[in-house]
Amino acid sequence: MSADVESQLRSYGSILATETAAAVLARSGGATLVSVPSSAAPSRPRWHIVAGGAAAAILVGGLAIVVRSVTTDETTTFAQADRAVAARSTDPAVFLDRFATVDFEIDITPRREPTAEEVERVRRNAAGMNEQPTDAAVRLIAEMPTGEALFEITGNRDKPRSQICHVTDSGGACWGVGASLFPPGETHAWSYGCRPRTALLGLVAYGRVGFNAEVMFAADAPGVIFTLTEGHEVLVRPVNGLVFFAGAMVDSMEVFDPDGTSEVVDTRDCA
Amino acid sequence: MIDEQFQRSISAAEPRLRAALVAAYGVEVGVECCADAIAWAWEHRRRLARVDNVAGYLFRVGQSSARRYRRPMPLGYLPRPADGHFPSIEPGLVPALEALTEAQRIVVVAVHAYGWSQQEVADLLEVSHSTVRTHLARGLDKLRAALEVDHVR
Repeated sequence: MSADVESQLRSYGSILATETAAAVLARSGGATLVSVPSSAAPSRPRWHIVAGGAAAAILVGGLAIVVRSVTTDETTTFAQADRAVAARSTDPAVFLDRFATVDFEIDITPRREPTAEEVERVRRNAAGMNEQPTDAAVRLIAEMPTGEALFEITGNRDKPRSQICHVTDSGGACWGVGASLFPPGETHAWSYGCRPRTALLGLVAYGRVGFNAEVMFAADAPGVIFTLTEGHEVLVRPVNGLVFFAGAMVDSMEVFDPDGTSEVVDTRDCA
Repeated sequence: MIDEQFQRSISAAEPRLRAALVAAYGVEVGVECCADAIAWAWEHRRRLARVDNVAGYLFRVGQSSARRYRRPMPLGYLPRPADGHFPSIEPGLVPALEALTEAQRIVVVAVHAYGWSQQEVADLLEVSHSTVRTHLARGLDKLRAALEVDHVR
């Protein structure tokens, strides 16, 4: 007769402990904490700003956006590069720095090339495209550090594709969006502080902290970080990216220049 | 001052944090994610200084890191017993563990492999004791079914 499960697990615990100790030992010569001033990032990628205003776009061999809060004054980072990002040879170091520390992350898999018109609208920072090259293939893969998260995932190509996922420590529960918050397939207006309201349509993720984004990715674009008004950071990473446009409820955005300098745009500034 | 507090809190949290992440994601990814979480903790040590449950907070950071490494987790991410060294362990135990939900696996391994109390697991995962009890019962039921081990209640 087999040993009971509890006894087997007790024996297995010693295997896990031994293997873990060996792995820690083997890893001890690996990455260590280092301090790197953000301004000293070695990369000087050939970026080109293609949009401004409520959302800022940066061309990185395609199109990408970095949006982050100016209130983040930490300059330390660590050299342990995100493997997935590091695998992209053209990624600038600043992305590695930023991507390594976000609070949670979503992936997006687009399913077709954007049309020339869509690309042009993205470049003109025109929100509210009628059709998205993204399917409803967004996954919330980590809950917010402060607890449960409420996310809405919407794809307008196949209506209705909306879901709200209530993610807790024991897993996720999703249900239809209903009509209250974000009617499936309908354009939804959102404002950026005192900036003009911008119609958003398509792939949208909601959080209780007010995250709202419409995203397409450029080829090889490493992703984008949104800093929410409460300070949480969200990394949106393309799986098979195309073109990107985004808007988020942020206090400010940092727009990176081709020479590596950056400009802060206060989204609450009505002047 | 914050650095000293950081060292103290990390020293206290790290063993349990690493063990739980290993239970969730296997040795390789679990250890990496623990390192990621601690690196994150260092960068955000001022924020962390205001957190009551450092281990629980960093566990979620580690979970986020894990999902960047492997999505979904491949089979075989938990170590297998060496041939003949652990005759008391059924060959099907580890695959059955891998087939549990993440929460069930963490709870089952923490309680029965590591010997933690259910309350200790609840504290780390920041869930209720009853939630831990439910995960544990369901996880054990699945393991027993997979191993065809009778359970006398």
